[in-house]
Amino acid sequence: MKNVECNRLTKKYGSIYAVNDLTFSIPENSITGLIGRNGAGKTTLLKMLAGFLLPSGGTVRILGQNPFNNLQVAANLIFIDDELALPENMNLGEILDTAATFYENWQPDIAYGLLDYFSLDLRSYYQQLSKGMKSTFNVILGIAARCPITIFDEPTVGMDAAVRKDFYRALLKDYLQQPRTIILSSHLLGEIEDLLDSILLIDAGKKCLHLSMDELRSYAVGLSGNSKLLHELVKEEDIIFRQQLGKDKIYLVVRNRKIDFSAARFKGLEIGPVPANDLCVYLTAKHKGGIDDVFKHS
Amino acid sequence: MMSLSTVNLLTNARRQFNYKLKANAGLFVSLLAVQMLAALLSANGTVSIGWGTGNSVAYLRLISGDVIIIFSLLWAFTAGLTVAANAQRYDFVFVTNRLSSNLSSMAVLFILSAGGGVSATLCGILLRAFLIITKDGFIFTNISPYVLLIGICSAVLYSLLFSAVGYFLGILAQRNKAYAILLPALFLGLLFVEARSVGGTRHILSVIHFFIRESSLLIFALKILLTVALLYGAAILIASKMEVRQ
Repeated sequence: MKNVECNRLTKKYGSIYAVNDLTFSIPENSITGLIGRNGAGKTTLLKMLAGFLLPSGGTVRILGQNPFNNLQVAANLIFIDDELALPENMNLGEILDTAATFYENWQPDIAYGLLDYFSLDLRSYYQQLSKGMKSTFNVILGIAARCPITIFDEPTVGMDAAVRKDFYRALLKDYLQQPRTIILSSHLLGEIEDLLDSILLIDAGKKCLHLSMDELRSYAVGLSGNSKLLHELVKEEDIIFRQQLGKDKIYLVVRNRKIDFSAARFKGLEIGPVPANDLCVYLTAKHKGGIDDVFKHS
Repeated sequence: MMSLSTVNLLTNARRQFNYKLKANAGLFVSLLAVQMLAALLSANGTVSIGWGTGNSVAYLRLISGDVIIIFSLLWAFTAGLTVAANAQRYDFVFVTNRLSSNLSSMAVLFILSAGGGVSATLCGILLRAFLIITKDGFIFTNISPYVLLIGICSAVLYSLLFSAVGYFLGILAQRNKAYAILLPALFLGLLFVEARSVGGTRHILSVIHFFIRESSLLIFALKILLTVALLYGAAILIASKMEVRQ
């Protein structure tokens, strides 16, 4: 069964499309990274999955049901973003106890354990926490709730590097103990790459790619060498990114298809893999030359 | 396959009720503050008449709990607004849908109204007792258990009404922010227009008369409860199509 299904999903604000004609599905028990630049429509998409927003067009199905205003979906889904609206007059311990009453699979040991590990005091109040500590507390809620559908929208905002690393590790550990469908949005793929089964890359509300991590890693190759030779070898439409390295030397990121690698090596061209994070940046860039294009004619 | 949770609407609303009672606990503190302020304001009597002949002077002071009741009703109205605003923010962190959220809000407001109505009436009694002890003079007072009971009932019912109006307006304002400006403006405007139109139909006055000119407690209760049910029903209908955290 597909736990998450979107069909031609669209969300319009005035004349602007925040999400535009998205069709994809996510199988159960997988970790999917939702990657996109600022304003790509990640949050809008996730809020429609969580049933907070109504689509302007198309359909969304969570566990086979329409999530909007749906109690059964809500009981099986948790949506965590960087700042949750939690009551000012309840301390962290009280909030955890409240969460425990709502979620059937709630894991108090994990919740308290993580709170202790990250040095959060049960008696402190959410509004008094720093940005990073709020995020930390939010992800603890998300992990301990063990919902069949767990959505994290930019969960690591404000966390320092050490906490981020610990969070990813905690998430993976808990996922292995209790597999579920996890969607994790981020504009940085690098950090979460090893965690993911697949990625959904969106740009300006549209689907760019939806591939498994293995497929993504072999999706493109980086070639560098003489500009003329390179352009003879690859088709213009396959070029994803272009960077001038020297007078005649050029670096190209190209779709990995129909490339004669032996001929390339013979001509002295260098071939290398493209880091997944860089590839996502190149794919969602407006210009093939990146920021260099701005300075080209000046 | 991870087993899915199924949840019953009323079970969830009950869990939410417990959560929201804690989350809105600050309202009890503000109720206490409002009633203490009102008691202070009415400690010198709401009406006082003095007259004298020759070398003897007499004062008549009317002590009543009316100010406390009025303040408590205004508090009930803001409690309705607050609970509506908090529901939009706090409820959707945990498991909910709109119906469950509205039902639990209603339950919270029932408890708050009961607390407000009972404490307002008792506060009025307390005020009189305090004055009997501290002031000299003859005291005429009529607080039989029956009168007290009627007082409490009507104070609770009025609180229910005011909190339901507040809640309804709070939900309406979430639907569209413009209502938050339009409705108070409409109310005040109507108030001025009707005050000046002598002899014309006065809608606001007739609405008020509909409730306060009722001599039978039972019919009065029915009127209030029906109005409250209509307000909550409308709030549920309006909320059911609303998006969260826009």
